[in-house]
Amino acid sequence: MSTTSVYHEGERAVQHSAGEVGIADRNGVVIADTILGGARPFIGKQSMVVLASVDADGAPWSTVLFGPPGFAHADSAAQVSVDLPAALRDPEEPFWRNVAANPVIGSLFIELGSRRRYRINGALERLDDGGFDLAVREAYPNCPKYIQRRQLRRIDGDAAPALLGEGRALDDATRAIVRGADTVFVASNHRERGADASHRGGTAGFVQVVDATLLRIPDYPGNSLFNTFGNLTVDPRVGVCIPDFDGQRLLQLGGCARILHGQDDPQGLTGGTGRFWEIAIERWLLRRIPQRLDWEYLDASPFNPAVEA
Amino acid sequence: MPCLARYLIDAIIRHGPVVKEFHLAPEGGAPPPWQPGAHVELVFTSRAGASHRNAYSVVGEEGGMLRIAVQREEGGGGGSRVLHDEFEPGMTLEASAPLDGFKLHPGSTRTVLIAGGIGITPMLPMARALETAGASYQLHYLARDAERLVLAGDWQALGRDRVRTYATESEGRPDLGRMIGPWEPGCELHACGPSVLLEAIRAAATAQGWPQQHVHFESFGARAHDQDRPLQVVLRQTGMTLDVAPGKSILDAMIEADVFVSYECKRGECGNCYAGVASGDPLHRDVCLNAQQRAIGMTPCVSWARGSLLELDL
Repeated sequence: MSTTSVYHEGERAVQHSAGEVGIADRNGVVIADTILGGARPFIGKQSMVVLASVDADGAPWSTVLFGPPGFAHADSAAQVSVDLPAALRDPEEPFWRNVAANPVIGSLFIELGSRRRYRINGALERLDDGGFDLAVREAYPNCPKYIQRRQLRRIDGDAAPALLGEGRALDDATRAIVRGADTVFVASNHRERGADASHRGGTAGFVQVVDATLLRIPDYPGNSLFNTFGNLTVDPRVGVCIPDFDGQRLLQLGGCARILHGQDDPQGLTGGTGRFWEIAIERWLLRRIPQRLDWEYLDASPFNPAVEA
Repeated sequence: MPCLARYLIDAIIRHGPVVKEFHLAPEGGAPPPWQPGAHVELVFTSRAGASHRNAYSVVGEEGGMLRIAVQREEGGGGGSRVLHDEFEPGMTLEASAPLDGFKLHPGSTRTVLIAGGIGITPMLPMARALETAGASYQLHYLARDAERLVLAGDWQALGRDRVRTYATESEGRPDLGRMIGPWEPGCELHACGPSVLLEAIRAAATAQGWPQQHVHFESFGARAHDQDRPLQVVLRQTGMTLDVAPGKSILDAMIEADVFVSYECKRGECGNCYAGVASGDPLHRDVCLNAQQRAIGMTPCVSWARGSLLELDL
């Protein structure tokens, strides 16, 4: 059996740099081209989906969409549908205009309350006033590590969406959101393989604000697939979104990433990998989420490495 | 999925009562590149038609052939018995490309290698690499009795003061704390052996201040215990109850039932199948979780539970 169809050249390059090619081959067996039977009811009870989309210039954007449980459903193993009427969307959300122009979509169904997540990458098949369909190209479960548990207690749709601000360098308000972040989503893209949505979690402070335009993030031990880093090796443009769970806001960042292998890490900030990555921020958007969400924080992942004091 | 290549068994060398060393000649070409600690998965079928897929560490290379050592296990899936009883020089089998699942982290100050039983196999190429690099290291090799201290030619070829052997049946288990010593920056510990030994090593290392990321394990051997009883596993999120018989892992039972679950190593080493425990009394048999992680969850790939009921947050 050949491995060439599972990984692209960027993923292979990072797997080599990390010395984890063999592990990636072993772990790649979980990647399927349809949705696992047991994941379909899981998708059907979710209230949020993390999405990666790509704008007209080819830059990836990360976002989160919310809806009542059942708003997303996998009626077949080959397709996911998301019901989100146009009237309930934020017109300022880049996702909608991105997918209208470029069909690639990465998605991550993540249930923060039980630390389960399922990744589905593919292409837009339908977009209309009722919602959209995503045709599955690849689908696989991800591990529960580094996910902070939160329960969505209530969701209602009566809040008015709003663009609260946009800019190039972080200001005080956006800097505070980054510093307090324990849950971050990353969008990356490969011109042939498409977009990828992934989760990064840690103890608040794990995303270091080096200055107003530079973030530094440790890369914890993972599944060795390096979907995100593989994409970023080929195309360094990256989209990041950070939910402000208490403030009903979503911070979306765009910029360029640089991967740093073999770094000195005397404090153990990387959990032993010696890998960091940096994001040179080029723009940000701060939006109010178009629903009212009532989150209850439960606990931090017992896998989170230490953060800098 | 790693590519499979066909190998010819060129020679089989006996080491004591239960270990046979196989020399595997790749059909057409040189052996694939491999790193110290790597293993290959042998894929073969018994005469009775049962197919097996067993992982063995690469011990070394000789004359363009890969060397592996197989211990005959009375329990388990039976693959080692098939290799011992049914394979002879001249026969062929298939093997995956070497997988670098257990990597050498050379310490700048000191590297400790501990092998339990057949766990010596990945330690030998690691020790040779450290020896070649002129690194400061110590190899401790524990076996039940002197007859089971196998592959003597390999470890006797290392620096004389670098290797210590222990026959635990007559001498008792050595003081692991003294063996490991206190941690300081630049120290790395690697151990391969049965999970019970690795558990004890983890405890001794933690007591001496070793941070978890400097302790590297590879485990083997059956995790099921004779006392294990059938288990009813309730998956709270999925709304499903599975009856799992001893000898089968909870993870495999979930995979067969098409439950949505993440996993990778299936050996209790990576923690990626970690599941929250809603109720029940887990018997932890992993070698990767710390006390805090065990307090609220478990790895269903190797761990079991006391009593008859276990409820997972899956």
